Amino acid sequence: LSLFDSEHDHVKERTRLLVQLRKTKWLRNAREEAINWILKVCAYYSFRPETAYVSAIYLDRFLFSRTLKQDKAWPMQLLSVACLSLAAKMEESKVPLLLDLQMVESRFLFKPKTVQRMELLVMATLKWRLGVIVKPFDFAHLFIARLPCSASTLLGDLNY
Amino acid sequence: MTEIREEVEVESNGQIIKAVISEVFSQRQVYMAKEIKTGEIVALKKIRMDNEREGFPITAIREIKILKKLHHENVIKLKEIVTSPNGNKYKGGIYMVFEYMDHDLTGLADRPGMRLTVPQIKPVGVDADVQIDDLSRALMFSYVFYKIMWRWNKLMTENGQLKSIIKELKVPITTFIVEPFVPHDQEFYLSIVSERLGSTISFFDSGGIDIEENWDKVKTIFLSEACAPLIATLPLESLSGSLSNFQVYTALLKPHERIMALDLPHGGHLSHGYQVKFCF
Repeated sequence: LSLFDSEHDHVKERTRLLVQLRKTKWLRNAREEAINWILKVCAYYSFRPETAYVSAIYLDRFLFSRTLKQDKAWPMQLLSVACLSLAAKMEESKVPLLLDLQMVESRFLFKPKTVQRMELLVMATLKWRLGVIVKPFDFAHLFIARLPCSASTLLGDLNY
Repeated sequence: MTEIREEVEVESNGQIIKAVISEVFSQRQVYMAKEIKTGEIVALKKIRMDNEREGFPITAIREIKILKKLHHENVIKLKEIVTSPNGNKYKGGIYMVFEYMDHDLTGLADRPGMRLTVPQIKPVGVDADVQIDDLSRALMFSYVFYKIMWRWNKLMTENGQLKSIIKELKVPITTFIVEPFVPHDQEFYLSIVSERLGSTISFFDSGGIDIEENWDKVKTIFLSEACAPLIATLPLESLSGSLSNFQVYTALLKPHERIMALDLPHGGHLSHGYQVKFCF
């Protein structure tokens, strides 16, 4: 039941964010840019798909609760670094150094101390609820298992 | 015990809760605190970040992650995470709030003259079906259990309930079949037998001492009336990761519960053993 409740809250939060995104163009662009950057870094370090997903969730939840200054680009970049670093720490078994994490195509380079402060701000904003409970990945294998995917069963069905 | 040392303000969900720190436990920065609003006694553990170069410590993140997932009577409950607002002495401090436990077994064992009472000893790792009437047997159980809990921080309430804090669990927990059974009078030692591999890991191998060989020592510790400062002097540290994993898992078991192991071809690991008996 609690799982369902939290998912419910989460969906509400997301829809409201989407509405907000539709209204503000700069935020939409900035968010897209940030997520693209996160995906690039994840690909570079071959992180698990969960990591990218979780960091995007953190990013969205943060954007929903707080507003960033829109005339500058660095706050968004700092936020992406912090979200990605947190997600990697949650999901990955090996986490690259904070400086290495920022090496991929970033326009800014933040000191670890700065990133740490941002991490704390993100975690406080998310009320320390870092566990993203429902990930699509948790269900994917169930559906895959349900698929009549092996060749022999397919053929068997056809013959029948 | 309730001498007030320092006062700290912590913030939880935007509300400031004043906590009175009444006892500071050693260098580990664990505090006993009283929540002003509810009057509840809790333990605060500070997350240390002074020398952290990689942002918020990954060990803390994992500790929180695991603790939030674990709901078990033998595992200490992480109530919440609080921060102290900037501006006071504890600037930017982040604390994990745990339920308060009265004793720390290591500390107890080090404290001279400290004695455990029978109710404190009895429930420790003892099979509910086995009636333990004599004290020495009960102590032996607590000894074995202490061994099991070694890699954990061991905490105990006044009425003898044990809880553990997981410390920086970095590896996935491995799998064993565990079969506790009624102890034979003489066989007090722990043996982990892997039939598949044809090997026996004795208590000694897993870092304990052979009780029969060291009977004199054990006798004086366990059977003398001043029984309490048990175990502490014995060399009790497990030698490998899989054994400590095993200990962690065992601590989560209730009597007669099993941990299943994977066969090698199915993805099990050699060090996990295959079929393992765990006896005391």
